[in-house]
Amino acid sequence: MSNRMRNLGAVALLVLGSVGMIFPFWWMLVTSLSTPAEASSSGSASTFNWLPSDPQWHNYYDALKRMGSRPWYGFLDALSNTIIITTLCVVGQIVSCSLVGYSFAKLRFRGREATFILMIATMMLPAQVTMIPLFIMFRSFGWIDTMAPLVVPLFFGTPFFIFMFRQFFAQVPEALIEAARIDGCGHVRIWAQIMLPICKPVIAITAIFTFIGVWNDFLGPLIYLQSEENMTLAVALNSFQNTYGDFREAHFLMAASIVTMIPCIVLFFTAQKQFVSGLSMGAVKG
Amino acid sequence: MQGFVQQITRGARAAVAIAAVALVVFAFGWRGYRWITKKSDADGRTVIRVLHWGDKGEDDIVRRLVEDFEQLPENKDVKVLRINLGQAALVRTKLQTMFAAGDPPDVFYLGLENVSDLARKNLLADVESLIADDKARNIPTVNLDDFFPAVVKCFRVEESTGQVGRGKLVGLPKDFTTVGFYYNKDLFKRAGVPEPSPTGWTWEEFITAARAIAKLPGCYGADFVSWEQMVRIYCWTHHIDFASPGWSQPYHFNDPLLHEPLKKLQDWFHAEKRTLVSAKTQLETMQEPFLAGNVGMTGPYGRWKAPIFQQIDSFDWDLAPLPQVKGLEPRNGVFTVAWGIAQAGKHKSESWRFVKYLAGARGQALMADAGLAIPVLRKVAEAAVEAERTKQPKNAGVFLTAADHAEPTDFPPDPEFQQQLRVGLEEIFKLGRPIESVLKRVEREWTENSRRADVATDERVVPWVAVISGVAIPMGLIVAVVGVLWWRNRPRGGDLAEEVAGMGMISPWVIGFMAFTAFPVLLSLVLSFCRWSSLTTLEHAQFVGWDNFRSLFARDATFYRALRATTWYAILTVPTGQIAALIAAMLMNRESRWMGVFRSIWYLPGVLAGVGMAVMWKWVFHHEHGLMKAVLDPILPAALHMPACFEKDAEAWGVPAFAFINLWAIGGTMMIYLAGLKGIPKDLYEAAAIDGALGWKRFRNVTLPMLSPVLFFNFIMAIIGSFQVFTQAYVMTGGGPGHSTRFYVVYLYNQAFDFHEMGYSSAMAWLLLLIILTLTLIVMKGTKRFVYYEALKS
Repeated sequence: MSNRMRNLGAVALLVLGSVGMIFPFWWMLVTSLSTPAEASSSGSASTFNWLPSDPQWHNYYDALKRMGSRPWYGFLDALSNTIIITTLCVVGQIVSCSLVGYSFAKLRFRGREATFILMIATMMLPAQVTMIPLFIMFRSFGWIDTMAPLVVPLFFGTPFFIFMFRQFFAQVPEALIEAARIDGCGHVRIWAQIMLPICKPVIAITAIFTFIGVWNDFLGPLIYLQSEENMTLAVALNSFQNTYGDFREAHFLMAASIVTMIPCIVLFFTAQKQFVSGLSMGAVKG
Repeated sequence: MQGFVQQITRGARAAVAIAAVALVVFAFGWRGYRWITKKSDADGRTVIRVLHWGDKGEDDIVRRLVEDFEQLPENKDVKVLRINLGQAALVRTKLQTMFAAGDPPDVFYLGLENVSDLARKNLLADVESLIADDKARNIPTVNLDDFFPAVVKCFRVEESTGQVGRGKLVGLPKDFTTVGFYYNKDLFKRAGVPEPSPTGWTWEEFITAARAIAKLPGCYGADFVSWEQMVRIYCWTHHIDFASPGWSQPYHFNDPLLHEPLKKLQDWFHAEKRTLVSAKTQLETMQEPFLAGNVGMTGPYGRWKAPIFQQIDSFDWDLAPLPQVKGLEPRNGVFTVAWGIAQAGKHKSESWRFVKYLAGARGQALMADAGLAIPVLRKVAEAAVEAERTKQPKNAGVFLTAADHAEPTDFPPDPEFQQQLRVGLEEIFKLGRPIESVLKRVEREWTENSRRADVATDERVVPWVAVISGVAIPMGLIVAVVGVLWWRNRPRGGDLAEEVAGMGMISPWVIGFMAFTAFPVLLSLVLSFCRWSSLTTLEHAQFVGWDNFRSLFARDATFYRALRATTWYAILTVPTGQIAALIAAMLMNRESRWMGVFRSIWYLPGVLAGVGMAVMWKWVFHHEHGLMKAVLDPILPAALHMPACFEKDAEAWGVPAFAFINLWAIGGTMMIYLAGLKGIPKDLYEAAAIDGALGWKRFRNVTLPMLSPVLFFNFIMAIIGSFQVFTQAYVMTGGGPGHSTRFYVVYLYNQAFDFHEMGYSSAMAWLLLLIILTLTLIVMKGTKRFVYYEALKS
């Protein structure tokens, strides 16, 4: 088999897979553009329109306007809450994880190995174990119906990303740090001025993973937030589902879902190069 | 050309960056604006929090009610804060966390499914005593005689047992409906069967019509909703029930009188094709088959379906009463929701004022406008039916007449009973299991439950002070000793500075770990030896020793089933996911501009989350209208056909279907493999080529060893992930039908948030932790020989 043939075969397989991977998105897109009658029949393979014959673009306008109890306010509130929470989380995650990761990688102190193993072990905890105790705790802090329970924990670092930063920093030559020390730099300055600028790929991964995770988080906002003006998009989407769990407004649900996903998709498409190089530089040397 | 493309990419990036900054600025600006404008409307009024559910239509009604209420001069001092979560199930989860924290909402929707559970724990205010207070103070109040008696009965609960029907009135009904069948008039005409009479008809007439319509090409006789309440109402029309009133003993699970009508219904479902189909699954896949015009009847449904059917313009339809059994008194069931007031609420008098307003003529009339349900005041209801004479359904009065012979569709007081009954009925009507053996098992489980509930009544309150000091004092001592030892052996000079800096820099994680992980985990460890209903506050937890673990191993058959399903899922999903991800990564490991696009596309499903995805997958696997069936059935040989993965064949195919869906989530794993592949030095391949190693040989001797650390990492992550499988199954099947897709964490979540057994579920969580830990250690030991750690040093 010639090289060319093999390449062609690979590309064919990739294209085939891509069709499968894109299919859910396509289905949502088509449903979001259909009329109410079409939407309620798009649950059947025989009546599903693969190409919308008469795309109802105004569904998007209507869906966003209808979110929440005051026209537009519901959507704008949810959008800005989600953006603020996500931004704070991403910043907190990067700062705390890189700081802790640097310390684990480059500073010698007793108990370092033991702490590191403990940290790795906590990655195995099922989240359900801590859910109710955490709620009781946050309530005693008076944090219910505020962003704090969603944001503050991320300023204390997450094992997975600390681990990635550590793996990356471990590869940085000692000599670089020695040189900085001789010039009189403290560790905090080394971290801020030397380490952070060279670990952009790991920062990119942390940012993307955190962004997608926080943006789509459902259970957290559901439990900790209460009033409509503090809600996030992932929870606000549920207003298109009715009491009995059936969908009278499937086309609106899908339209709003797609708008919600756009930032994640755009972010991923623009940053994927950084992302892959970041993974190959540090993360995987596990 | 190259330069042009680069310029475009750079331009796009800049545009994205600018958009992102603009969005962030907007978000903070908008929040700030909202914060400034908000200050003015709080102004010292009492805030009562109202928790409810409902889609846009219902949300609008409640909003209008609240606005109207706040406008009234006597309510100037009250501000109502609404919390609407859309779906009823979410409201229940939320309500529970709020009760558990001792911070319940003031007013909330109270459904029949949790009224006895809440009342039994004495969490609901007594409505009749509030009425009596009003009367004593000569304030206008609610007159219960104006209400439909059958509806009020639904919220009378015997607090000691949780039985519905008599006792304390714990909620004020908001609206209700009875059930009937919506039918397609045109199909009845085409099939040549007489239309049902609005004054009553029988199940014989019902099934004759369904059979006749099923004979028409492409048509279905009837969509029957096999919810447990609907099946129960069907049994009521035969004057038989699963248990004695209030779900008490003696149970009738082994009564042939019960088996007979159930057998008949089961045969209609399974033995006669297209006579009766299950409407429940179609609802979940978001389609409304009745709208398509090829379904003769649909039901039993309440008033809530009318608004959506009013969109129909392609055929004529109406409402038929619930079919009955010839010669027996008619029966029907009440579906209703009430406004509940929290016993522990801080603003009870304001809350009561709000509820009174809602139940008043003005509030009820506003509510009737939506047409989702029937007002609870008889006069308002009759006026509403009269006013809508011209609207469809013409026979809407049927809902009202049925109220005279309707009973509360109450749920068993214990939510665990509810699930066991639902599972049993799903096995009968979806999986087609024999009725006698299934119901015998349900009876056994119920008897077992009540025995367990009896045993655990001895009050052994957890001595929290002793527990906390028992943990805190030794911990404090250890910290102190370590601190002293450290200080004594502290290094000197530069090393000390480095040690202090290092510890300082990891301290964020250490503090976070203690606060957000260690403390909750220890608390849950304590809880795993307790019995604690999370509807009550922590002080009510009782110490039960090893009881939770003992009943898990000795008595809980569902636990073993869940463990088996999860193991099976892990066995299926770990290898398939890893192999697929590795193959995809190898295909993508080449230099081309297009690879970036492929990578993004393959990762895309990872970004798509939420309700929309669940709906789509249910449709893909749907046993009648699904995409898989449409694609595979023509290809497969005649003897084989696409199994009904989440229906009849769920026992065998439910778990594999989830493993298949998991293939759409390989993006992350694939990326990590890709990164690993890129890290393999090129000269190794060149050397291999010189030695003549190509294809499989090269893969076996170069790629695999070099990739082994990554492989190992992904493998462990996949095992951990597969044992924690939850969201997809919870949203799509909720563990059913039967127990066929009840994974470990789904069952754990059931115990915690449906049965409120926090102690039991904590025990399960700890067990899961031990299982995962053991598996990880085994894998680590077992693969030591195969992982080539030298690969890391390159």
